[in-house]
Amino acid sequence: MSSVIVAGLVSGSIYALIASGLSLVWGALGVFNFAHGALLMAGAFVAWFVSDPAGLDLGLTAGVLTSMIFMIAAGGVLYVLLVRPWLGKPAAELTVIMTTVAGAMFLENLALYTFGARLKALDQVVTGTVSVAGTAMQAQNLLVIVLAPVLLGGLALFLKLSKHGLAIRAIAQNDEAARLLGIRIERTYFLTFAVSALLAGVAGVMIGGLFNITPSMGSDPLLRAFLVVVFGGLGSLPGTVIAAYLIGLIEAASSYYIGIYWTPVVLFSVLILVLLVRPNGLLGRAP
Amino acid sequence: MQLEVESLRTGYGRIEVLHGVSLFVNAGEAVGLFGPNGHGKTTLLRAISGLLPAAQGTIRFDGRNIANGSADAIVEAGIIHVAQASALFPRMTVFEALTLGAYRKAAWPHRKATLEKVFAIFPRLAERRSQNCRTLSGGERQMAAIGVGLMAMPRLLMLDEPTLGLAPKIRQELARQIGLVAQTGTSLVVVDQDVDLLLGLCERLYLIENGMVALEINDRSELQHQDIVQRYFGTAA
Amino acid sequence: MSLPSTPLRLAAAVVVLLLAILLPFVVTGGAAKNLVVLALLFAVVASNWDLTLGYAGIFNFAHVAFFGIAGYVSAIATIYFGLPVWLDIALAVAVVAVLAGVTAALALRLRGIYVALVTFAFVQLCVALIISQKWLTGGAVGLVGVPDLALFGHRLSPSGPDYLILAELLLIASTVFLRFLVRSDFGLSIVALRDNEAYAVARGISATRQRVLAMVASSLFTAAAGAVYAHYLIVASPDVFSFSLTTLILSMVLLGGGATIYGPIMAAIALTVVTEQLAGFGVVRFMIIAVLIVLTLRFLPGGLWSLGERLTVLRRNSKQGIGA
Repeated sequence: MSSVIVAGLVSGSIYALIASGLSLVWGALGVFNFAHGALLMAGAFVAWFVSDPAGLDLGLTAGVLTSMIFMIAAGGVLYVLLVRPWLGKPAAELTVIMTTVAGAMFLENLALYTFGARLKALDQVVTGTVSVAGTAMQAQNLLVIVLAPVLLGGLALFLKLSKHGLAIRAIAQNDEAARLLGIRIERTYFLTFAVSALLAGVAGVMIGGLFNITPSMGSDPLLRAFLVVVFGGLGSLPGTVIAAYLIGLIEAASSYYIGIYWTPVVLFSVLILVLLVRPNGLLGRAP
Repeated sequence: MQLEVESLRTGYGRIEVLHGVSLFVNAGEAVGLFGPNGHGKTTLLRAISGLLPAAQGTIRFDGRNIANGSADAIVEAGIIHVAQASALFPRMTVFEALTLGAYRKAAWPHRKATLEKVFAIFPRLAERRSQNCRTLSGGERQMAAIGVGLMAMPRLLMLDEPTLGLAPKIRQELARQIGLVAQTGTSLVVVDQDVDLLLGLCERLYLIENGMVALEINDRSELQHQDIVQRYFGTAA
Repeated sequence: MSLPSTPLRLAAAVVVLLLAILLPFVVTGGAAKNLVVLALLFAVVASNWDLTLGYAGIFNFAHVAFFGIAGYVSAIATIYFGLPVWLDIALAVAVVAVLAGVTAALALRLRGIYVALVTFAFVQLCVALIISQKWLTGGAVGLVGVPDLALFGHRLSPSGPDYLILAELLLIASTVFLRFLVRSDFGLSIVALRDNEAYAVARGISATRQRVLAMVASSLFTAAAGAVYAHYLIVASPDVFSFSLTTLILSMVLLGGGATIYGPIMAAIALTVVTEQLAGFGVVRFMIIAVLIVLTLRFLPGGLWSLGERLTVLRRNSKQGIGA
């Protein structure tokens, strides 16, 4: 029972980080980034390459830091190359799905070309097991469970208190009024993508420390994040986070009690149920 | 002259709305614009604030041509446009929206002091500070919109129909509050249908008709209210 | 959209038919023939996807899964239940059509991007189910042993031109069906819903019904192609559900130009050939294709088909210029 909860919280934490980035971009720009999973993978590979003895061997701290800086840049570049040219054009929504799918294809094959298909893993930030409330768990799991809410809290504060965080929300809610306050739309979009990519990078490093690093490691979490944002309602950050933990826990429980192969069926059935009752997600707004 | 618009022509796509508008605003002055709906008042404000490119003509602010400048550069220069019936930011609290109002570089460091000044003019906003903008009444929303504009410490504030659709009592309160804003030395451009309100607030009025300045009223005593109304409705009908 | 004049279209149809007749005689090499069969089948899938994606504006990302599911229905029906060939294809089409209708009815309660996300999730569900139910589907390896098709006692031979001809016939039938459909009242109604839903509904068009019908219609020939594909490869494989095949076929639709039917067909054939030509580059070819996709969307937003149209217009204009 307690191991199910731990597993659920770990997945939920990772899904929350991934999905909140997707949701943020959707809220501000009205486009959906299908390369989000590939960004996550790229973050994990950069951290691995910088830290691992087979790469630059500079240690985990350097690896993680480099990865974070890389992610900020990567998010911005992705926006400039794959999103900006189509914003405001007809069918931007669909075209950006396509360009970001192509971006994902590019990044995954680049990783495959550069690093090969062999499984890699990041060193764990913390090792050993700890016991919390009578439950033994890997220290790395505990780190993920604690770190994710801290980061998500940080994101919430950034969006509520900082000048540029408020600007991201303002654009999402009323972009003409935002322009009339002098908010630089372009720069704010860039920033939104950078923040979103940074969150994906953190998730990538977490997954890399717990599981394996492969060129396609991003696609499963991304598809789970799709479920999360549909559950939670795109653009609603609290909804997204709640849905992420719910899905993490449902997934863990169904893998444990019903069997891992039936988990997708369980998730999909829950999704259908939710959508039949609330077509805009659990906490979503009508468009 | 702080703002000087000269022979401005602009519109949407191929449809020209303004056919050569010229007007000016002196520093610290309050100027009213009135005229029938759909004759270019809002279009003029949108062109000044950079939302709409100017096809022809110049817009000078402090002697610098800002026509076709970007919206953010124009805000940085000190012109703030409070749009009509602004829905503002529905899922932000009044406090957050006001804070964001100080986005302009020159205003951001002073946002706490400015907030106190805004609350002094609009005490209602202080009461509603932690409420979402969506939940405000029409009058409160208009106060919030003007308050957000003031947070940018504008040198020229343009209000587009601030009293549209408000009950007479709230309209009076708002008019008094706009008067307080005018006393702070901020230049004002007020667009409104309510000529009485404009006459009470502004030193000079322009009648905008068919995308042109049809009449400039420099001295309020020059014209009686009745004449304006007659002319206004006579030609608008 | 400017359509070529009737004599021009007649000429084009004759040329295409001649090519179709010649193709089995020209392409005889094993590898080349295999490539053409795949290209033709993918052209069916891509052009049918154009019906929902391009014409109806539905972000249906389960389309390629219809192709894959049909293969499994075919394989299971023939291998486990000994259903005669051809009948299994009909069964696959029927099953997929029902599935498409149900998926549509559920997914189309949603709007825009949510449809994309839910249909993506649907594909994921299919893969998970197929891989987990090893006893029935063969798991990750796939279900091997789908029998060859036969006609009047003659087994369609994978080494002869048989499958090539079959794929051609399928593509021609599918194209005629699609062109008929998009020019019918039904086609006009789904375009109207895409462009201005409120207006179309006000004119008495039922949004949900037309969209569900569009999904079902787009699944018919897709399913047939999926079943033929399984017979041709003798295997129903979960690889069909992979992200990369969806990406490839989606790029055919968009590179060719949405809402044209012909565009995706041309792009399918071109892209299959190009992909094969680049095979020597290994994984780099996918990077090249990705770049090509982005560049096309950037500089030729109407797809390759619009290039042809632009040329037609240019030529017409220059002719007029000379005449004047």
